[in-house]
Amino acid sequence: MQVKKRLQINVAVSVIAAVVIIAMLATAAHHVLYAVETSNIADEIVSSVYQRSEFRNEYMRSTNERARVQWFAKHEEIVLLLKSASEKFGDAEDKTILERMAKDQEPSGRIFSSIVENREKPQLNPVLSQEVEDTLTSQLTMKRDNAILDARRLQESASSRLLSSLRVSGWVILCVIITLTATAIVNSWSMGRVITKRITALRNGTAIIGEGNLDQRIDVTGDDEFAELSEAFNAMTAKLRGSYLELEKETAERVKVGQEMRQMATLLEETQSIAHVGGWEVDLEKNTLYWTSETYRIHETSSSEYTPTVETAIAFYAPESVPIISSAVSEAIEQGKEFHLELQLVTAKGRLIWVETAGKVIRRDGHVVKILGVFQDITERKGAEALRQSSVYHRSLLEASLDPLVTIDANGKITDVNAATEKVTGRSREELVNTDFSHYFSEPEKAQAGYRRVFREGQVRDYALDIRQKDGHLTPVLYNASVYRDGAGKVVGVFAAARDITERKKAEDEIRKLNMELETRVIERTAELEAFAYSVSHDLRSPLRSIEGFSLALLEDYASKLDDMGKDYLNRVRNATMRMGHIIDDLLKLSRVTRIEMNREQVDLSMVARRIADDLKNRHPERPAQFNIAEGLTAYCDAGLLTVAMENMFANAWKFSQKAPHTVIEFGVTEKNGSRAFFVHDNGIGFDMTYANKLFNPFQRLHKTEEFPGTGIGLATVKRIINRHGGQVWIEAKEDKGATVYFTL
Amino acid sequence: MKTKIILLVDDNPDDVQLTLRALKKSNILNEVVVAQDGVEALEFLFGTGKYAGRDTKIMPQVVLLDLKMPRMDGLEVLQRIRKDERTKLQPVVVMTTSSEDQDRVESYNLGANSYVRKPLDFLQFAESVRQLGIYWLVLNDAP
Repeated sequence: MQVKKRLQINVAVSVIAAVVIIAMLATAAHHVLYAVETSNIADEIVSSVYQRSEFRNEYMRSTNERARVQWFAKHEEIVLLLKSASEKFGDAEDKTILERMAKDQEPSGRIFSSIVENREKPQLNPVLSQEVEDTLTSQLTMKRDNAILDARRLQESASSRLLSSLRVSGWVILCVIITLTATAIVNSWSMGRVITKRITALRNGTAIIGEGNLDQRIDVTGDDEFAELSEAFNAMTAKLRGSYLELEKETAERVKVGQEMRQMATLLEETQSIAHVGGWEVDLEKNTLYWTSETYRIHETSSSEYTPTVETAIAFYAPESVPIISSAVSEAIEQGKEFHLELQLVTAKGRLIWVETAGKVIRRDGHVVKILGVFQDITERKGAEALRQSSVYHRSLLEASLDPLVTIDANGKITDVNAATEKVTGRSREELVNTDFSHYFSEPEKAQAGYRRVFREGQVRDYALDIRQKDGHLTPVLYNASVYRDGAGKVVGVFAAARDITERKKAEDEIRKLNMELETRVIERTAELEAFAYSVSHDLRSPLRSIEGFSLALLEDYASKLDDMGKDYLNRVRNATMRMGHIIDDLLKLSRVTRIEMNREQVDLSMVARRIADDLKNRHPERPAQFNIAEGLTAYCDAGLLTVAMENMFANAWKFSQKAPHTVIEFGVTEKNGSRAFFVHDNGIGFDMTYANKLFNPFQRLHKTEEFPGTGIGLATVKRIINRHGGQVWIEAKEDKGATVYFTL
Repeated sequence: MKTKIILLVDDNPDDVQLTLRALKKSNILNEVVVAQDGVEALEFLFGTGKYAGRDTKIMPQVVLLDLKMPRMDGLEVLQRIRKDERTKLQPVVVMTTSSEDQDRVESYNLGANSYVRKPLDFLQFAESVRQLGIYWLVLNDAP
């Protein structure tokens, strides 16, 4: 069933339901109206019966003429009312009640007439008359009560009709709404299910087709819109399939044409390769360059590695050939001049070859549009010519050399030697040629290893060997050798030149001997120095201690016997001895940095600097000072010695900046004269650079001791340490502008 | 207090004098026996030679030992003291003028209990001696 139809059904069901509901409402309204009307009539009957009863009572009380007339009028009205009511009421029971009531009206009228008659005729016997009247009255009252009862019944029946009609119509409306909702739900659910199923089938089908399977068809069963859509899709796929087949056919045809063309090109290529002649073509309109396979082969490249352009193709030529080919090509383009050249070219593999190339122009409308050319490798031809020319010249050069020269072929056989080789081996050229070269060395294996290295690396430099003469005499030599190639660039052997180093060896041995002697002497001197230093530290110190100790003993034990001047003298004696003690200590340190064995390692100089700075600050917490230490500075040096050197530099910086309001000491690294220089900078008093070079001598001072105490040995110690590391140390300063100590390692 | 003696081994009479004064000033009132060199020190310790017949049950509380001395130097004395069963555990403090590392290392290697460089400033020296007193001696109250 079509989706549209399903939707229409939904609408139709809704409309029918609405009509039913409206009809139900109309019926219910009709019933309600009827019930209300009958109820009103019943009410009127009741009130009329009561009114008539009132008129009777009034008449009974006063025998009023008017009341009698009114009673009869009301009576007539009731009769008419009941008559019209029996037409209105439809219910059978109600009709019975109304009939009964109508029937009762006639006796009621008669009874009242009898009462009137009785009252108005002359009273013969008043007692009897009264009795008659009473009986009649009670009969009439009974009739009245019956009428009222019946009217009330009619009222009840009307209201019960109203209730039941309302209930019935309520239930019917509810049932209709439920039915409508259920129908709508069922219809929607089944419709949703159908749509999902159909769409899934459609999607799967299109996915398969989308993947390229043009033979796939989508299921078209059913009579809905999806089936139509599927059919349209299938039609489209079929059409696509048709065009695809056509395309395939055309492609196949083109391939065939291409194959034929290739076959022709191959034929051309093969012809060229047989003749060793390549071809090229410059298309000036498209700005392209085309090479044939043989042209690629001559360049020792391939079309997969290189796409030729005019510029890069010219770059293949040897530097001296580039201007020639460039101008030939431009003349061909501009003036249509054809060319024929023999030029040198470096192939993609680095081989220098000779090529012959000729170019011919093709014009269209008077303009050059293409240049066609041939291309040929003529190295062999050229080589043969050149060889003939240079052979004689080279031979004489070889023979003139004082160094033994030899060429060896790929099998290790000597192919040629010069006179110097004959001399150093003590063998003639004829004896040597075509024999194994390694045979003439004291270590044949080492010689062969060197020979193999030449092939592997292209050359060797200063390869040490000993040549053995016929009589057993050895000549130490250094070999320089490289491979040599034939005209086509193929390695065919080794060319080796030896240098006699007998004299140099002798000199080296002499130097080595002298060095060893010197070293022994240094060791002896160092030992002496150590002994001296030890004795200085012990023997010079001992008397000083006595002087100092007894001076103090005097000051302490004989204070009462000394006047102030005496005490002052003794204090001067003590200060002088202490100073001497410091000098001895510093001298010992200086000698120790010279003697101590160096143990180099990677040292974190920034950390050393921080430690020294912390120590200085801890010792003088009262001084306002700031240390700027660069992070991560390291050097390959002796940790202990460098610490001593840096302690001295920092101590100086600290000492000479004591008069600055705020001491700033900086440690860092910078570039000086092209090398990495560490520096310690202070903002102290500085000094006149005239005396700068003296500072590193022991005991050299630029300031008075009273001003800046010191022994003048610190910087000498620094210099020794830095020099031992092979570094330089110097100071840059200005008076009152601070000083910077630089050192390299 | 008789038994709590100190053996001071030093060839320099000035140093002997100053050391004795320092001990006194530090309220170390023990008997101090002075040996002029290493040989004499060993004679005292083992009751031989000059000290033949000495009651060797009475051993010094501490030996204050100088290094550089004629005849037998301090390091050899120390070696002998450590080698002998009787004096193996004898407290020995090396006191010297030298500040060479090799001396200190060697002294500790040979079993010195402590190593004190005789400082030039006598106050420092006195303090060293006083500290040694706390270590090795009963400190006497001043009379």
